[in-house]
Amino acid sequence: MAEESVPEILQLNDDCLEEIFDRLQDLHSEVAFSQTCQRMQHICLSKWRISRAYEQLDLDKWREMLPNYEDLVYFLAQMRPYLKEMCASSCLCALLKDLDEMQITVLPRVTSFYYDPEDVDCYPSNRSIRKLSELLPGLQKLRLTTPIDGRFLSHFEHLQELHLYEDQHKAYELQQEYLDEICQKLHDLKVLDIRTYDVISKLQLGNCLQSLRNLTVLKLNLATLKPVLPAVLELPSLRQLVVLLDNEWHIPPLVSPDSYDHKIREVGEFYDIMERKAKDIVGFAVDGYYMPLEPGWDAELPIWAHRKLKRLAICSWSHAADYLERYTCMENLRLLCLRNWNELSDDILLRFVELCPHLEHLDVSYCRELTPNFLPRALEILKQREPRKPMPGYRHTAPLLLYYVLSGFEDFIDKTNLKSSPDYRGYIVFTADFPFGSERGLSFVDRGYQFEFDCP
Amino acid sequence: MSLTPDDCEEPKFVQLKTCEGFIHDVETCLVEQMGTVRDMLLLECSDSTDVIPLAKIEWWIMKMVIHWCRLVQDNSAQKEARDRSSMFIELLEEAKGDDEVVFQLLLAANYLNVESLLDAGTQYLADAITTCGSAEEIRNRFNLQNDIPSDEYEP
Repeated sequence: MAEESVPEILQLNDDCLEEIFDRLQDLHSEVAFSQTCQRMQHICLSKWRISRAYEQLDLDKWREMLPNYEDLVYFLAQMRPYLKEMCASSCLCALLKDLDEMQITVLPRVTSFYYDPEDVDCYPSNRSIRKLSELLPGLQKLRLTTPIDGRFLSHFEHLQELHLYEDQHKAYELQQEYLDEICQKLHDLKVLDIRTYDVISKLQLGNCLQSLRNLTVLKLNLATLKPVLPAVLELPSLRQLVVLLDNEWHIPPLVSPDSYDHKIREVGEFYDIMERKAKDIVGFAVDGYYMPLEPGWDAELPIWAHRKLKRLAICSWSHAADYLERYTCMENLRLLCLRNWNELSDDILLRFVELCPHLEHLDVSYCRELTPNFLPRALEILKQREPRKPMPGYRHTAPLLLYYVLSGFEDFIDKTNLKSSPDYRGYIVFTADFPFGSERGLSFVDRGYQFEFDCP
Repeated sequence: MSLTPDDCEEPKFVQLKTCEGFIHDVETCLVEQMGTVRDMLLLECSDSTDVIPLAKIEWWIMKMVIHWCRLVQDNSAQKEARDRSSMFIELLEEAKGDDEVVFQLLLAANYLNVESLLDAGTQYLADAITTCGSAEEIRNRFNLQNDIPSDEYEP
């Protein structure tokens, strides 16, 4: 009886087989390759598991990659134990039904789910939310931008982050009883975002705060904050508080919308927080377009005594910029964001570069009055501080990230290709983006304010 | 890093001994493409006249590998370089080689660290697999047995 010989292709070592895998044309070929035998299946799976392309399950995208249904079912079955993130932009109810048909009932390692449907009328039912909690039992981070009443959100037992905010109209917000349930049952909750963009929020936190001892980030409407402000500021782990000014867009019929002053004159709580938490404030951001801040508004703030500011963002300021200089005493400043200032000049900005040696992020997007002359002058200051920076082996500080979208020197940076300039290397990095954690657009924080606290 | 430092006499050939004991005299410039041999020589640069044993390589494969390295070198000197896939196919056709030859060449390329040959050989096989279209066809092409347990998904 002849011995069974090993197929020649299996005599190749894993290195060679992996090199072959890397050269297959498409996912369909990879799937077919993996279905041939155990060894190939092992090779393919070990490559898929570490591929960034498949870190996140987006069923609509995966359908495009694998139009053949059987291929898709196979691939999902293989990847199911390893998926860590999931997102969806089509109807959640339909998605869950499709996964059911594919016999995918649990994704045990998914810790993050982001639901942002393209069809704005596709609201998930409560039944879908419950099914989702069964599908993703280990979920830690949930972002749902559609209107929901909140029932079954408390079924995500390990949830740490709940993001429900979208900056557009929502038909309705959470129901109070379900918000209470979320706060009382989700003991690991660290981040809670219950802002409602339109209308005045009716949510209350009176019954919730004693359960939110682990909360580090709270984002809410001013109407929700008002009755519980002292208690919120007492939360032992709170590091960040973001307040959205409630807005009701009632424009009287005989008034022209173009001339209607829609600034929201609600500053009491803002000053209250400054007073109560002065010694702990390490950052604040304010949208000057909606907050009626006048020159000298900050002259008597208690934060001056502590000088702990690391992050400062005052956006859409329409008065003179001279008073800004008082903030140059904040030597620990890491981030300075001055988007959309009418009169910000090179000189004032250079004072910050000079006097704040730890500055890492400088956001001057939409500041049209700045000139290209700022750039070499800033570079000179930085070079005088650290002359030997680009030299290899020399320990140095991180470069200054300069955010310059629609600023007065945007054209200059792009035309002279300063991003690649060896002169600026190691000192300034130009980026046509916005700092991480900030809103996109004219303000670091949209229609409201934000505080960051030093938490022991 | 070159095999020929300035203060050493420059040998023109390196002797490579395959598993049967056959010795191949290979020009130094071609050996540069064999990463494994190049590294061995760099470690023992004062004794570059020694025969380098290659216990895992058979003589006929070594001959093909040397031929490949020569093709690559000649190609790089051309004004219009040819793509390596067509060079690989030409190499196989000259040797009237089948799949067995391809696999042996790949194993040799992996062992000797001849990047260009590994690249061309694996691309050749990848193209063959892509052409097959289904798991069953791939199995037929390469004589594979389906040993995946039946309780797992099968097409």
